[in-house]
Amino acid sequence: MHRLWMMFDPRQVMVGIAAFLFTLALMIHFILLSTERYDWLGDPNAGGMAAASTQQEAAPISRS
Amino acid sequence: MSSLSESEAREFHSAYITGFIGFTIIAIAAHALLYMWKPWF
Repeated sequence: MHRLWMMFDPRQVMVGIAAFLFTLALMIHFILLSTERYDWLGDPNAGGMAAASTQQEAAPISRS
Repeated sequence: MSSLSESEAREFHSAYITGFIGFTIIAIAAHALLYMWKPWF
């Protein structure tokens, strides 16, 4: 396996991997931010798949 | 073709594998934490 580095320049491979992983990570993070369920910056009670929560107003207390 | 000798290639390879294993462990931990927070299956 180590003979790989005799064929490919380690510096070029590392720069390539770093650029690729950075782009991939950035993409995944933005995709997650765009979803409702995994958006960790928006409304924490947004719910997503598990709970569609629309808060309902409580009925007024009736005093007769 | 790079200009590495066999021993240099072997040396770089061991460092590369160490980094790869470290990255993989961190990635697994991150996925485990995320799955505990909100499972996707």
